Amino acid sequence: MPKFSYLPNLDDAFTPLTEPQLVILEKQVDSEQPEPTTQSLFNFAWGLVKSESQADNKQGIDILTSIFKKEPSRRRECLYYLSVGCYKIGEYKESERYVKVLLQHEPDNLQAQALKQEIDNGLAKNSLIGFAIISGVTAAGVGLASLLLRQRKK
Amino acid sequence: MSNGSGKPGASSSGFKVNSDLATTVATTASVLVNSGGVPGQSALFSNATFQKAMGETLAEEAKSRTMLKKYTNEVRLTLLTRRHRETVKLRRRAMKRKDFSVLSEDMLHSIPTDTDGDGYNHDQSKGHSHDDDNEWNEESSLPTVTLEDTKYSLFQGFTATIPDIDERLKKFTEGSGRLLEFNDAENESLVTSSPLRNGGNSSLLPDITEEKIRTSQSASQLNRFKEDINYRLDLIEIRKGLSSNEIDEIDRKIDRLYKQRKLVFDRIAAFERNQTVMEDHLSQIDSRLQVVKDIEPRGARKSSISSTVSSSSTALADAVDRLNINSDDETVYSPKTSAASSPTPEVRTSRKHKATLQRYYKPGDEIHSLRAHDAAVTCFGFDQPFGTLVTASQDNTVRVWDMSRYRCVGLLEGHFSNVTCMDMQDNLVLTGSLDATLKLWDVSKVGTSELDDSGDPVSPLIQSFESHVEEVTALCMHKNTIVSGSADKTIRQWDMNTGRCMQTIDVLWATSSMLNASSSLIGENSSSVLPGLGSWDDVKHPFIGALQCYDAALASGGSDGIVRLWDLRSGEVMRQLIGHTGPVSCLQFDEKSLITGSADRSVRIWDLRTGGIVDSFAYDSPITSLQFDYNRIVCTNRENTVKIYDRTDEKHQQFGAGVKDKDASIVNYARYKEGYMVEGREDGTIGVWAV
Repeated sequence: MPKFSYLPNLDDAFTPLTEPQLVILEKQVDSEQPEPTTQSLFNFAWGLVKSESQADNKQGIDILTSIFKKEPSRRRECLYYLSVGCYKIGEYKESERYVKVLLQHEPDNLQAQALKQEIDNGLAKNSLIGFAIISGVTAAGVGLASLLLRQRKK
Repeated sequence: MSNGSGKPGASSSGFKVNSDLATTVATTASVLVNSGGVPGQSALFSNATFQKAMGETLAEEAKSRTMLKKYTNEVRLTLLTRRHRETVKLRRRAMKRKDFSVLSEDMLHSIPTDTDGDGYNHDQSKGHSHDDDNEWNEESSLPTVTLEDTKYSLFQGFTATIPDIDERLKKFTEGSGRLLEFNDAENESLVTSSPLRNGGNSSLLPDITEEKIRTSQSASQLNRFKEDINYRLDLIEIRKGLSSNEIDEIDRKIDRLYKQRKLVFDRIAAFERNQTVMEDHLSQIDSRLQVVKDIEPRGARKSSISSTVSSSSTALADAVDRLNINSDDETVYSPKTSAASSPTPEVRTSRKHKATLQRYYKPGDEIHSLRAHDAAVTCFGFDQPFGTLVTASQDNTVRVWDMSRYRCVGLLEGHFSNVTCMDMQDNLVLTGSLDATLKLWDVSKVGTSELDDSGDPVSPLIQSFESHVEEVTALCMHKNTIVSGSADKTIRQWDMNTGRCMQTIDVLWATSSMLNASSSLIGENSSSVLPGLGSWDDVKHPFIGALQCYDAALASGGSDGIVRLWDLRSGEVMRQLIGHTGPVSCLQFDEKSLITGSADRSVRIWDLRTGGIVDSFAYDSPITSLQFDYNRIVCTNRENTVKIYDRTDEKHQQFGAGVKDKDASIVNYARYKEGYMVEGREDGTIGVWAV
């Protein structure tokens, strides 16, 4: 396996950096204000995405979207990072949207395909749970209603 | 986050079993809400980006709003409606409950397609890196990007930086983890910012020494070394790529900043244009006001006269009223008299904007060029940058220009022939002509609508000086002293107010008496030089080519190549500076040095105290005009560029149209002040430059 893969695996997003590491990345961005380089921004953003806190993840996604807007040449890879980021915070719909666009441009991207698979899994799970909840709620509702009705009848 | 350092891999599989049902439900719900409709969403998100920008400028806007409120209701209205729309958008966005930015559909699909063609693409991405959302939507201008540009992904860059960060962290912890040191190291990294800044061999490969390689017996160990080195090579390769990317990025930023500068620069230019227009209106209003005022107080005065008639019973009242009348008289006539006596009516100078733009021109920039005359420009003068310029030409006209508007204000008419020399002091212009006269003008009276008592337009001519018998070739005006040199071989001193000639110095006589008194060597020298030098390199040079006076001191230079210093009180030559081998065409002195330019192509800097040459340099052609200050010497020499010698850096530079355009016309004359240079060319063009 090559030491430096072009794009991160999904696992990578779930291995957080240490706090000092993140601080250094942030400091690097700060030091380059008001025009931080894309790489420094990304380093910080990806560090945030890797973090365990959802607030951090979202901040990371914000930075990634800004990179996407700023750097046309980085858009495609940014799609992947965004997709992973959204996946991580459970925004499967967004995640799917991004990865779909990425796959339009790079149909052979194995990592993107794998990511898509994961997202689909997540979506399926969610819809299942959602379905379960809805059915549960309806069942309960029906039960309640019938109960009420019965009481009325009595 | 806080405990993340302890267990890096602990949650690596967390995404597979997200057992927390509550959060799942919540997120699902939000997703369901959010995915309501794609078009609506896209609209919302395109707003979202706009909003972000708005949020940043919100404080600024509030400030400007309060300011604008004072002036225009319209602006405020539009701003308010915009704000209103913004808040609506904000509310809508809040309802959607997305607390992280999401890309709009448009943005999402404006992804560069993978094609080849290197340079083109690179340029494209350069041009676009700074644009905002709206422009991404233009499909046609989508930048296409090669793999070359993005050889390494951002993620690769990230992975390459991590070891460096770890290394840094390790150093901090090893260095007893002092906070101060942390900061110091941090600062250092900001400065150097290169990942492997302490790149000695030892730190590059701490574990693998040559010794070890040479003595190693096990293949596995060698393989491990190999792997390790390969890894490091990869790392370095990526870091190299990153750094080069960074340089590209910086270049792009510089480009962008230049563009930005250009925009703002243009904005200032527009502002100044508007100012000019408004000031024009203002001056029109002022002059009209003057007329109205002239009519009104007369009526008031009449009433006061009638009141005197009615209350003339007591002497006291009479006296009081007379006082009133007197004061009335003053108020009535004071504007008129002041306008008549002071050379600059207050109306015109009341409001004129400062030229801000000038400061932002870079040296060598052309500020403006205008076709001033039909024939060669012979000389000119200007009072201040962007002020009034007076030009004389071989087409027999003298024109006055407003250099902030680049408009010809009027002509100075009176000379019967070409004006050959000129000096300017504030709004006073002294011209010397081939018709053997000097004329003093007040340029502030040019182009005004004022009328004198007989109803004719006020003539700018103040005084005419007529007693030279041949063409005037050089002149100088300093305070109230006017000195002129003529082809009749005399230097005359004039009274500025009466126009009478106060002193006539016959140069030949004065110098011959000087020659008799001095050594025979100089006498021989100059007598051999004097007669033959009238025509040097086929051009007839004036007997007196240049003059400058300061109080009683006068310097003159002419066709004999000798620079003479005179005492105007006695009319005698104080000192002769001999050195030029050709006619002296121009000179200027200050308290320390005298600088002369000559047809022998050289510029000489003399020490006024010792009379010796301090410095000299030569160009390729005869010097025709020269001006200097502490920093620079500006010369023209029958070439299409203006030569500027930097006295502090001792560097020669060329400015003017000839730098870019090889066919540009020859520059005859150049003057400069405060980084603002004006040059006049053989084809009648006037060029204005920042230097």
